[in-house]
Amino acid sequence: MGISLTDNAARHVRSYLDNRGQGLGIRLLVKTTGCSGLMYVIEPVDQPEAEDMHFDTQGVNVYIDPKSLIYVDGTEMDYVKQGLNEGFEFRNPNVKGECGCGESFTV
Amino acid sequence: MALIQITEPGQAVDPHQRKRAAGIDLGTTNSLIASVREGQTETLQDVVGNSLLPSVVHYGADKNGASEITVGAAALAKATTDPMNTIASAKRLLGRGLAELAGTEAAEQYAFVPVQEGMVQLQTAAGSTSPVQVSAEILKTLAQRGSETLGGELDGVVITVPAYFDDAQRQATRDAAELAGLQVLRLLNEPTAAAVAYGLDSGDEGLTVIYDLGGGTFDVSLLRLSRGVFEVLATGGNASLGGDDFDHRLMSLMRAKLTPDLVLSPSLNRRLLMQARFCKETLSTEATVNFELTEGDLHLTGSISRAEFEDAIADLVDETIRSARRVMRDAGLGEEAVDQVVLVGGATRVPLVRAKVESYFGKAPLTHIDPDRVVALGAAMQADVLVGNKPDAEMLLLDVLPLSLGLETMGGLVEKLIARNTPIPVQRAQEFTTFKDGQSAMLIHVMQGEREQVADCRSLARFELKGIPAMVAGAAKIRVVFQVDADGLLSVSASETGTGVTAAVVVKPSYGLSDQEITQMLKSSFAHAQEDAEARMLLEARLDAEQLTEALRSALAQDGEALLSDEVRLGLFQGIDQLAQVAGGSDVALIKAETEKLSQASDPFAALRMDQEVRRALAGHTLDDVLPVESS
Amino acid sequence: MNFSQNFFELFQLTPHFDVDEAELSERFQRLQRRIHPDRFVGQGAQAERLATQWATHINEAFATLSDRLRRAIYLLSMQAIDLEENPSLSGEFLMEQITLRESLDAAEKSGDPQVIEDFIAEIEGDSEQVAKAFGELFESKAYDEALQRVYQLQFLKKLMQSARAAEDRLLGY
Repeated sequence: MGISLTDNAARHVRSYLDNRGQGLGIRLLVKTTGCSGLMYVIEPVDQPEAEDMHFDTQGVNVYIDPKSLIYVDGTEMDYVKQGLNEGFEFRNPNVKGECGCGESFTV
Repeated sequence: MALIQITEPGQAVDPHQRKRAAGIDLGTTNSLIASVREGQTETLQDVVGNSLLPSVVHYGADKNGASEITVGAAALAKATTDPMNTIASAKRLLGRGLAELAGTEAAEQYAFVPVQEGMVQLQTAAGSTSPVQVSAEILKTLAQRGSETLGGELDGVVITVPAYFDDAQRQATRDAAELAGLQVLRLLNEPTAAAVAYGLDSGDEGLTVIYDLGGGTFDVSLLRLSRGVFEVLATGGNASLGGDDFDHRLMSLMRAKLTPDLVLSPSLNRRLLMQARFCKETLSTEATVNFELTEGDLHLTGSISRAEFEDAIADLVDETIRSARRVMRDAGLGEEAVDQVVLVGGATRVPLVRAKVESYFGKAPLTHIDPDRVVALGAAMQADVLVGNKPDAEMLLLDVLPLSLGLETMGGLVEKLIARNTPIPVQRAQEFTTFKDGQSAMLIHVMQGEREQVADCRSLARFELKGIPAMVAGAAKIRVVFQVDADGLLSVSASETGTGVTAAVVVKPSYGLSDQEITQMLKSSFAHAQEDAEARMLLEARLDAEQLTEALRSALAQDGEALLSDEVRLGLFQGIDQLAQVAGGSDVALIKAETEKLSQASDPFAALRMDQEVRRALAGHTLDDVLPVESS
Repeated sequence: MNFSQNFFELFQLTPHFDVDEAELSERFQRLQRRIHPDRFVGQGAQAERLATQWATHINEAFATLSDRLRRAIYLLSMQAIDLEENPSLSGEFLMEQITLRESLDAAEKSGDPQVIEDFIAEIEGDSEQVAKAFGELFESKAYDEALQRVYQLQFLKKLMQSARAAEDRLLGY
């Protein structure tokens, strides 16, 4: 299983890293927060951690720590435009509910 | 589900710590508030679902003589029955003096208080008021809508101003926000705000013209959009030309058609003006419109064709095209270089405006974001970034000074220190000298405008530099420094540098309000009784202290070990703890003093960090010809 | 604050008269992205003040390096060569200037903006020639002669400003 990126998402990650000037890939984190409990965080990775799980999808290195992986296994990441905004969207088969404000989720 | 961005490690914002930020379009005719919520930017509505708040304030008195202030649609409804006490289009009066307004419609409509100097005051049933106070009432109403919708007090707002607003008008807008108790993150130029909304929507790059014809102001700006950078190349316009002028032209036309000799009562006059506005809107889609006016036995009817209307406003529209041509020339570019033209402002719905813009630029203008809302939407996006909800945002706005700044010199001439369209922030200094032996003071007269004669420019401030040591004529060196900040606001200081004797003053525009006046207004205003004002001062002092400790803590975590000795670092941590302790108490003066102390102590660290930022900016992007970077 | 770097060092460019404008603009934006006061809103008055100072400095550096004449003067000042208040210029050049002033007057009297436009284009062409000559002289370290070209450029710039002002009057701006 693991995680996959759409063409658009991969393109955006690459251009982000190019602009930043350094970085091996991205880290996907799931943090506890909010009214429904969990939120996604995407960060650039300069140095992977020893316990990181590593996925190569569409030529992009994605690193996930084992604790976060339980929540996002099977997730597809897309990069989309909605009206005046753009950003990454997560299609996560594990999600059971989202909080009212739409910013966090439960599994 | 909200959209997620990539963030540097440790920078992701917890959704429930998101700050409440809003963009406010303080318009001549209507005002709006917008915010970014759940990743969507939207204008906020009142309880009955209206986004637009008419920029109208009614000043009444109840039967006990206590003042009653109504804002918005309810105030507008009183415009015909109580025209003198119903203040509309106050934006046109902001930062303006009596003499400048002589002969305008506003002078006919309202009772001005006869004051010698400074900004105009209006006489109402609830006492005298100023355009700043009227604007503050509108801002308060919008801010309340914001905090009700967003679930708490606003952490910060971006307020838009016409790009062509001069310094006095900008300062007046800031003063109004302060009176309304708002934390202003930035004053943003309206066309730049519109460009942000369009640019972030389409992702299009290239040269963009924003043609913004609002109720009372006209702006035209040329921007270059590339990878999140909005760089204003040139701006121009007319701070007192707008859709209101179309209404007045149409009203004169209607009046002439009805019965040219009839003298209309103030209330009938207002009704005719409202009819004119309605006719203007109808003529955007219809070829002719009928109107009628009744009062008592009087019953008058007439009709106007679109051709007649267009004939009446053609010169005003041509005036806007001339401004656009000048902006293109200032940027040194031809119309053919423009990639897209965007229409902003309700008055751009008039077909003649669209036709003339299209014919001048040779391309169909874009209108797909509601021209009434686009400015507020762009301001909300900027507010969201500035307040810190998007630490990774690539957006950067580089704006310019709209009107040249200078000083009066001998013979009533203006010497320009900073030319219009200079990118801000900017600082320029010029040296002057004394012209009499033993001259101990010098009058400094700050001007804004493009013309050569003092009489043709706007006087912003006058102040005297005193205490110049006695010297022969021409020996003293008076250095005058103009600093324009990122809000486009000017501060001026002057000093005698030749002998090391220094006297400096910072001025506020003569049409603005002094800090004491603002404090006074705050104290006397109904919503801020004495205890309120004190409570607010404590709150503000605590906020400042909190902001400083928070910023310093995160700075120390990031760069403390790399940039500071253990000793200095420890000292700053102790300072943070001490300030946090004091801020828990209620001694405002003590909190302020300790904040200032810590701020000064951390100054060198902040400077080191800023130097580091500059070095990092170009790191990893070096060419062969690069020089070694100095290490500090 | 470390404002001791010269403007070329600030942008990490070698001090030549020929500057790649696209590259300069790109580096300018890169710097502003990091230090513009917008980045420091809400981080305290001190951070905002420092950012404003840096942004002002970077704007000034960019304005200096992106303008031909200002860049030339700046390069000379780096060689400790400063401009004189009343430089002596060749009689030939001064005669030329007088003739050009006269043709500008004639152009304004013609009442035709196009005539002024053509005049402006001519001055622009002349300025380009002089700037090119400056570049060559400067690179070969012939600083005294390069300085003469700067004076010429100053004259041409003033002439250009007068032409723009005349155009303004004609167009009623």
